[in-house]
Amino acid sequence: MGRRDDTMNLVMFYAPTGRMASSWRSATSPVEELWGPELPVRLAQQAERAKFDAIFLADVLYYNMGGRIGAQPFPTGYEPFTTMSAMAARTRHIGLIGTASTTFIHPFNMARYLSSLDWLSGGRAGWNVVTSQAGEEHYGLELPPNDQRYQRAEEYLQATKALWDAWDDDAVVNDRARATWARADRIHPVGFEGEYYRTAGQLFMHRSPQGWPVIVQAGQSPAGMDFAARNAEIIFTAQTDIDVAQGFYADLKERAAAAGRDPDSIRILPGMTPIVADTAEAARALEDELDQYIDLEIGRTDLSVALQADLSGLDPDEPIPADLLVDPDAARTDAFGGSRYRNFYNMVVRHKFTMRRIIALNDRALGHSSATGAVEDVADQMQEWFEGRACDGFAITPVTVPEGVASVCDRLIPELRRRGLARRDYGGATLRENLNLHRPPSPGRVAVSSTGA
Amino acid sequence: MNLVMFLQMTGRGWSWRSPNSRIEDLWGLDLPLSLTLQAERARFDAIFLGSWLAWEGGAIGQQPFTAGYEPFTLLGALAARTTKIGLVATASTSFEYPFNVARFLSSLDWLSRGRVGWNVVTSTGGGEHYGIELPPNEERYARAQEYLDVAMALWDAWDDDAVINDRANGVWARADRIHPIDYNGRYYQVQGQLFMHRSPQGRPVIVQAGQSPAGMDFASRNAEVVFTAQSDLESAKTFRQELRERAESAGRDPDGLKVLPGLMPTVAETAEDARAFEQQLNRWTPLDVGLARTEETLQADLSGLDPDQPIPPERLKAPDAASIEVSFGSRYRNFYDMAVHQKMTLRDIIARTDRNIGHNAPVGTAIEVADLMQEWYEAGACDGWAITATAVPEAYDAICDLLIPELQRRGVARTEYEGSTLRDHLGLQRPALPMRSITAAAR
Repeated sequence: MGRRDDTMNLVMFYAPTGRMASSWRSATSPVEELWGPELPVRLAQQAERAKFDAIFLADVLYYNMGGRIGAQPFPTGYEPFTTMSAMAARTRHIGLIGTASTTFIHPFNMARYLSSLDWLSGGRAGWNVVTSQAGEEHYGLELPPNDQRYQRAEEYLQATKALWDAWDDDAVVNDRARATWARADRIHPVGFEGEYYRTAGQLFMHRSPQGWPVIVQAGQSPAGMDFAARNAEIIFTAQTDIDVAQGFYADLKERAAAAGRDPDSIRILPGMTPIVADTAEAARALEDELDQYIDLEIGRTDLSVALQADLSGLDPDEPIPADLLVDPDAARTDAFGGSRYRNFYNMVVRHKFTMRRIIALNDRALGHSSATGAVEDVADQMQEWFEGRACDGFAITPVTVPEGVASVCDRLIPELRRRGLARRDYGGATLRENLNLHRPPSPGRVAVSSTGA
Repeated sequence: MNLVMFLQMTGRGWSWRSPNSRIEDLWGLDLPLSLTLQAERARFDAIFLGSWLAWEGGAIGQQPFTAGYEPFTLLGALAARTTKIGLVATASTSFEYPFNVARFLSSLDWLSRGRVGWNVVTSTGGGEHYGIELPPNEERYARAQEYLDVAMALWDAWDDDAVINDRANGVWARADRIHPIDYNGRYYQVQGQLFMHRSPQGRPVIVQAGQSPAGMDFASRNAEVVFTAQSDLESAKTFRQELRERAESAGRDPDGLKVLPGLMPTVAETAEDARAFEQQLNRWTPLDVGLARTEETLQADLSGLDPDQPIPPERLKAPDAASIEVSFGSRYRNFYDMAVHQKMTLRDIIARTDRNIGHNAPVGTAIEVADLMQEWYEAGACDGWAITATAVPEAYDAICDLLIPELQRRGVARTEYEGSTLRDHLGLQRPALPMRSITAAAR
């Protein structure tokens, strides 16, 4: 019940052609298999054999691609709900966490899709709650103002939880003789009237195995952290320095405690992209090999977005002039990827990397940490972060498919397991059980004499 | 003939009370998966999922929701475990953004390698879940037309030859073969394109079921498969003929529109067994619950009547005066016929209404039911059937093990899949891409 594990929580980030967007150009990439069923199923099964807690599907409806649409496959082209359902049908243990936006899906549909996924997977669904910073043109909408984002998300979450809790856990009795499927007095249709959202009625399936899907969130702004502290069970975060990560970790756990929650019931998982090989030299050679696929102009426009600055005309082999950048405290947090600004800022100002190098790091890890080295070195780094309370585990994105996935599943995870840092087998049937997270009880509303069949 | 199996996991109405029903297995994957695999072995063109967001009658929870399963997620799971059978999802144009529905369906078409269909409904109930009031029938269809136009434009935004996977030159897809849409309609404004390229079928098969004049008009312009409730051969012939004529005047090939009346057969080895099973089904239907539903369907107060006598005709509205704004309002005439022309007793109407909601519901041997199916098919009253088992597993097994083999013996049902997509199974063309000059234009 809400216990931090002795082993790391490990989530695999689903990137069908690898984290490194340009690596689809490698001879072995499965780019021809997009958007068929076998690729996601195969990767989910591979992650399950490595005993990952869950596989995670992002969903970004915005791509710059240097203004050249189609230059690279869309990294989140796979639609999360339908893809996770396909994965659910061909796996047994691994959790399935999908990103879905509170701006582009009505709470009733959201609650229904997730409840259904939880049933179909036997209790393995998780929901990465995002409010969206792009994509509104597909919906004929305007994005809600930034200062309302978390207020809306909070209300949205209340609406979906009300729908998930409308059925008591003991509502369904399957009483054939009395012609009663479920007891009417154990079903509590909601009448939710919020400032932003309205919903009434109840879902048409009863309460799902996990009660609610596992709630996942990724905001790093102060408002985002407060939202996470109140609501999230897994936090994804982009951290590149252990000291900053430790500060974030302590801050968030304190906020959770202040919100009346057990700090161990909220798991903080920084994203990371390992590039591992037998030796450090071989790993660096792999890194160089991958860098050749990078399209410098796509990288430049992507980095311009990340750094909120015009980088055109700069020499790629020189450091980026620091005076082009605004101070991290003044950076726009509502801009695309705005919560990771500080990581990129530090690459420019603290580390004085060349633009070419930062473009490579961005392509490889998107503002998350990346670790290049021998398997033991990368495991050392992960162990240091985990034992130093910089994290409860990691959201690992393989740099390429299939090689990067194989190196994580067949090399890195076994090394962590040898050290007792990764689990040997699944401990439970549901994602909550595997994460040692408690199942939310159905609210005690029932004070009726009948105890049912 | 084209055959679609309408999946109702625990059968129609109250048949979940059968000791054999798998009511305990709701809402896991195993139950729908085993039924779908069974339908695939029987070589059905497709399975079909409804999505009815309202109670089926009785107290809340008294009977399981026939459409409790959420179609998009369930079809994603079924796609991963089947290889041939088509998968048709019902989705409303009133409750989800067109971009999302286009995306879900495109994804499902990819995940199933071209086996997906979309039953387009405009919804007569369920608005309260979304905090909205549903517009009246005519406006619902006007919105639905725009909605469908948006979805079509999104499916067509990528040319079929856009993706070239050119590793050497770093070009995944040719930018000049991707045509982001800019749709500015009265109800919808949508820009951009999906993030996956054009799916195996180009577009999912478009299915529709409205029988109101606006619904028929919509179907004749858009639908490739039409589900309809018909209980009389002559009216069915007329309906199909009219739909085909309307399609032709809308500039379409009438053979690109398949009309599939609903069929809820109760089949057994002998006619006596079939009737005995129907009697059993009737006994499972609680009369009081059924009465409320029948009153709703017949739009009449039926209190105080003897259940074993026909309904006095003066209690009922003439079909032309009945409302189409209520559940199954478009099928009023079928129920009216049962009461007034066939003079069925109230009790029988209640049981049949509850179970069959106005569909053709023959009871008998496989030979008898196959005779009826063949007669309609050969008379031009239908292109095939949308079959629902009155009970699962009893009637479902009988359909797959007795009825389909009988149709196969007669050469009117396939014994093997010849093609691999739903369009192949149904004999429908893969839609060509539009002229690029008009992609962005609103209708």
